[in-house]
Amino acid sequence: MIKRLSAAIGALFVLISCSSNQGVEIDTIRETINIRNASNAAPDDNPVTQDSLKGITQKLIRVKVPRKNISFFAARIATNGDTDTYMSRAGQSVTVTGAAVIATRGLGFDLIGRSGGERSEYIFLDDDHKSVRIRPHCRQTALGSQHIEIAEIKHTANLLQERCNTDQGRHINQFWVARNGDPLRVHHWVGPELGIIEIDWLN
Amino acid sequence: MYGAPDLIDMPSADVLPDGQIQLTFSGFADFNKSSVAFQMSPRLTGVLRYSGLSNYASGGGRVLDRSFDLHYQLLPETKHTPAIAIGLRDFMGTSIYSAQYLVASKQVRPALRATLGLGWSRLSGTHQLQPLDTGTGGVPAFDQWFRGPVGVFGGLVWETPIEGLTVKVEYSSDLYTRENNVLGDATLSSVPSFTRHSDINVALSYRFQSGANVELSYLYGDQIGVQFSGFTNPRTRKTGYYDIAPLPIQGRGPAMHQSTDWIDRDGIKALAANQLADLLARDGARLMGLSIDAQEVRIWIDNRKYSVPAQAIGRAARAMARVFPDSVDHFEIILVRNGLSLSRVALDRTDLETLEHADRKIEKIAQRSHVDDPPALATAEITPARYPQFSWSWGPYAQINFSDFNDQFGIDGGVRLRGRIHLSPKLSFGGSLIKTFESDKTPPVGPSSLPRVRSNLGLYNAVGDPGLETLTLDYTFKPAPAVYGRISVGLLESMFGGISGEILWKSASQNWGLGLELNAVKQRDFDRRFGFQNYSIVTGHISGYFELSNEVTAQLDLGRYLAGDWGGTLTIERRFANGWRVGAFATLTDVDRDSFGEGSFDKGIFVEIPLTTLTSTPTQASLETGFRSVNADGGARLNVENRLYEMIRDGHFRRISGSFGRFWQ
Repeated sequence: MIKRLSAAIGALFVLISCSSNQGVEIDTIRETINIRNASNAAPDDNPVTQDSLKGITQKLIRVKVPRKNISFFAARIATNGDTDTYMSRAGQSVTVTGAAVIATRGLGFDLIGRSGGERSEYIFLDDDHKSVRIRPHCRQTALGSQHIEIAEIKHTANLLQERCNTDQGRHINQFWVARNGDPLRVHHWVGPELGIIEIDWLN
Repeated sequence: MYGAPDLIDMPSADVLPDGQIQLTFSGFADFNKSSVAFQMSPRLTGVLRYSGLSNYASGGGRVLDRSFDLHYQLLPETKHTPAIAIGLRDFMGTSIYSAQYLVASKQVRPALRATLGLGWSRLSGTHQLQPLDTGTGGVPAFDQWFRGPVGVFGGLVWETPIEGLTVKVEYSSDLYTRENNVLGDATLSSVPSFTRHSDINVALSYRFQSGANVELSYLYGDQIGVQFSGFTNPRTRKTGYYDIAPLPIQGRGPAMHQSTDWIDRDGIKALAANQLADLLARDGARLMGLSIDAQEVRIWIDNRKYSVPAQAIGRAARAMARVFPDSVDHFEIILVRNGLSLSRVALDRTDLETLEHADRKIEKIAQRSHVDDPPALATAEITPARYPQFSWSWGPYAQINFSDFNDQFGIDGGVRLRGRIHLSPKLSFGGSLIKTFESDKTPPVGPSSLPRVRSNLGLYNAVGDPGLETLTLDYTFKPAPAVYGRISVGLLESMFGGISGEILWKSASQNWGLGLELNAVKQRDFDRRFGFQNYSIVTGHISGYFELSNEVTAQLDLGRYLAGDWGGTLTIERRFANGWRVGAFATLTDVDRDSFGEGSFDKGIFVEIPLTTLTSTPTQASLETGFRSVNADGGARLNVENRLYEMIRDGHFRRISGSFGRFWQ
């Protein structure tokens, strides 16, 4: 199992390691294509080890959508302003601003966008391609520091919690952020169908 | 019981959700009705109904009847005022169900809805009905609408505490005069199917979570009635969408680093073309042409994956943003189909970058994208492609056909295999084979005053199954920026072959167009092979296309039909952003009414369902079906494939601007 996990991460690393973070060099495009089209190797549920991450400089995340039994690794392939987009080998992507998820693609019922501000708005598309907007009522609470472990590394993280209500029900967003502000882990609601998406920043 | 928004047997002022298509089957005593209702606009409902009335005619004979209803909500319900609707039942048929009404409905308690209405003719509460059209029907009897005595009807609908279960009670003003043959009409059955003992009807109605509805009713103190209805709504179906994610936009560095030296590199165009073609191919598009300079790039693409043009444009724009260096700030994407450049969509790269995650990004990118007629593709800009290219497909087909001669309807269905070789972008050769599983093989009955251009359908189905449906050589061309042309030669459709030529003038950004089509055709042998019969004719039409909104299109064709008759066809259709299409057409020619059979003129409805909305994956395939008269010889138009307007409309402004919801997906 561990070997398969290491192989999956390793393969992803090989595919992305040639990519320039500048992104506009013509010669980097083929690697992006490869990432999008490589066969989908669904990762195991085993913990990620430091061994399997050795040598990887590219930002890597692990994504789970428990309600849909979706799980994948994704590498950062684009930065646009303060947003980062991570894409898996099978063509699923997640876009974040800091620790907050603002868009998903390739997951079936995608979050098309999310506007920030005091009261954030989640945008989806109905089957007639019209925008459907959901504006949860949320209450934020800082829950202090917590010890969490990601990829065999122990972190001390500040946990911020949002309790939210929508017409569809209630959900809780949780953001674990390092003291320097880097995101470490997030459990973020991304829509009534997908529910909560869980992301661990692995390196 | 009528398939429209109603109480039990009486109408209400309610409407269906916009865009909803509802199928209803109902029956009591010796009568059954099959109805299709379509909410054409938020307030206008149309119903097409096919009814069977056993023991109705003299001697207990069965009558089959088509009828059409229109129901319009004049005023929607408010807190203090009821919804008010006006309606015409069976307004252009034989008038068996003919009635007009004005009705109001109001939610009077949280769980109680009340309806009160006035009715004419069949709903007048008297035996004074609109006279039956004993001829061919099909002509609205304007002079008889809302005339004569007025009846009052009404009812209550109570939503019980059991979710989905409602109880209905109504007072009916329909006396079922003819069904009970109250007036002793010699043409009607002398033994009534039921006896009307009461004005009161009651019903239990249960709506399942899927939306399907079952209703059990006790009618007129004498009968048990049943009704089942199901629906689909192109606007609100929720199926998800599964596709690989688009490439994200990579933000560019500071402007001072935007070197233009790269444009002078050897082989830069070939390199860019290769890499762009690879990226586009992953999104199902073919790079047909490329024009590069240091600040601006223009590409020609043939989108073969997405049924929604804005999605193909969005993907292509992001592929361009990944491939081209920072100095390129302006993108132009030209959509191509069958070698024809359809439209140019111009975008600024800065907009892509700033709007990718912006608030209202769908509306903003739609505002900032400019659509116009494309420039011609110069030889130097064509990217090399391998020809010939072969494509094929197979799939089921089905059509509900109505016979104007014996009032029967049936399903014509089977499997169709298509193949086509593209010898160049504009020249192709291909055709289709069909094998029917269910079809009408009845030869025509009796003499015909018109050439049998369609009424021999049964002979074609009997002899030519399986058969070669089409086999054509097609060439498309574009003599001017907004002018399109097509020439097709061969077996043009299942009953006629010959040559067909068409010219269409339509600018990408304007909402109307004009077309001219001329066909010299000969009738094919019944075996659907390569032989021809003696009948030949030159037909043609002048066509006007009017895009009344992003969704509604009207088409008027005037000209000569296959039987040599002259006239026109009006087609109105509503096409949803997701590709669902629902429409109706009517043809009126100089053929006398009797030659058409019941209905007096050719008419029908059609529905196109894009497969992507059923499979939740991207595809341009669709299922098309309809309900139409197939064997009327009058008003029969040649069924040429690849008509220009159908070919180009997806690449023009209305369709693009109506689909920007998918630009970012």
